[in-house]
Amino acid sequence: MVIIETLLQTLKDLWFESGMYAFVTSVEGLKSLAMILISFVFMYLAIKKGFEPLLLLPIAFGMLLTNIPNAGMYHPEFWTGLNEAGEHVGIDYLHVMREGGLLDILYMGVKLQVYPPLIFLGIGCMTDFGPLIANPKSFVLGAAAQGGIFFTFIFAALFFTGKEASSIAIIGGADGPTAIYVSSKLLSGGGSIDTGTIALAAYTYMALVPIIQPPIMRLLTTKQERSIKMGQLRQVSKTEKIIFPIAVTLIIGSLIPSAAPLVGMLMLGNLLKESGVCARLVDTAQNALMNIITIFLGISVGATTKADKVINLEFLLVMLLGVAAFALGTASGVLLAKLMNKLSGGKINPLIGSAGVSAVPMAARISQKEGAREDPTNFLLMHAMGPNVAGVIGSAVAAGVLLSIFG
Amino acid sequence: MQTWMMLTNSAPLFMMDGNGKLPFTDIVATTITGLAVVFLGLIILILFLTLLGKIFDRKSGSSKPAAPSAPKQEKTPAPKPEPKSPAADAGQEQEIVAAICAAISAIGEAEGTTYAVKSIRPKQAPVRGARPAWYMAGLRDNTTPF
Repeated sequence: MVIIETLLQTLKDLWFESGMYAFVTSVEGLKSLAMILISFVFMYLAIKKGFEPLLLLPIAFGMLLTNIPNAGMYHPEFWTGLNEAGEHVGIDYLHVMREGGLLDILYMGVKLQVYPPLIFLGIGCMTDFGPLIANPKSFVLGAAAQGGIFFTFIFAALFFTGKEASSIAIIGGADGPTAIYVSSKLLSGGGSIDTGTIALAAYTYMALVPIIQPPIMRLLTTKQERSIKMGQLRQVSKTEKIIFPIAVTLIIGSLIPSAAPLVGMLMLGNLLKESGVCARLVDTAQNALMNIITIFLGISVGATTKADKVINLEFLLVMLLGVAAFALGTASGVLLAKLMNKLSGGKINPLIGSAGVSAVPMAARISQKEGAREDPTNFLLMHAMGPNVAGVIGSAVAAGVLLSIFG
Repeated sequence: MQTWMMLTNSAPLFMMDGNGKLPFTDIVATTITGLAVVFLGLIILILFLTLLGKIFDRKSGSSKPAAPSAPKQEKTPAPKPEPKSPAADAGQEQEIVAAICAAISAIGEAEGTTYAVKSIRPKQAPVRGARPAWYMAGLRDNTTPF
């Protein structure tokens, strides 16, 4: 009899502690259940539709884990930097390490701005800045496309605080790690949006670049402009390629110090590659290290998508402003390329302007595809790679500017 | 005077409290400042890279070997290429040279004549900026999947 009573009591305790009980007995539980269903949608988009699966899948799974009631894997209250009396005392990392769950521990790498620069190290190892060095004017297009960030900031700041607006606007940089870098530094998690919200919007739209960009590119250019063939790029020597990362780090690092972690690591990766003497380090940085960091980054950013950060009107607004940021960035790049074309006497195809939004190499491929659509013998890929990699540096600089103003 | 004092003061000129909503003037100021700084940073890089490009162009221009003489056909039997021809030295493409020699020799043998390759130089594009046929073929090969 005692055995049966104990068994029943244990089963009852288990039921009350279970997520199943929480799902059906509270509004919060129902919201968490809705979030788990939303995570399935993102998993579907990643697996079936191939939307940036390397990051969207871990983010969606992080979303699933963090919304399981009572699992205690992630505690949003640890990251607000507020004490029980509501005073701002900063984040107590020792407390996070003592009491935190698995996702809390992994999230430290996001909050301490460790993961995005390490991802940039890997990106640097994979990037060839040759087309940009051969045609330095591409930097202007990389800068123009950052208009997407700053024009979106105007609209976002009408609805959100300065820090939130900056985090939303940086989606226009079309650069996931940069968006995470800025939002994790500016957002405390106490407001209606968090890093996860920004990352979800950024990676969803990055996957949608082939759908968002072409109509804008066609709308802003004439058939004649799209058919312009560009001259061959000059050969770039190895010494130039070695000097480039060192010089960019020095110039950008001393001009905008808050951009130094991102730009510095990007350039270190590139220097390792171009030096030709660190093959082992390049291999680790662009493969093993980058894959490990991608998993940590994805799952811990996904953990910040608690129900109260996604099931609200602000999330809808972030998604709307996100697509506006991508569209404005594309339009700014194309319009400036049109101007450069006029000034150069018809030597620049305006289609390469849209590649100024980072999204490497997707945006450059779209310029190539749109050019080839008009004239199959037109090859814009290498010309578009210049603005494309300039966009990576440009969005890191824009991030540095926003951090120095609001950080 | 007040502006000068503001500029010489090391305190940040443009630091906002981002925890609240911003007045419209601050929003516009942030946008203009942001774009200006991004353009400034990248224009400095353009100037630097243009300068670097010019230095390297001049350097490679001065160290260019003298233009090799036009290829001549010779009737004397000498099937091997000149090992120290400038083109072969510059390009370090001994295998390609050997393959070209073999192809020419094969044609020559069929005709009953022998040739010697004295120099190899790249064919100039007929129009400035136009691409050679092999370059175009390679480009098409690499970019068609996109």
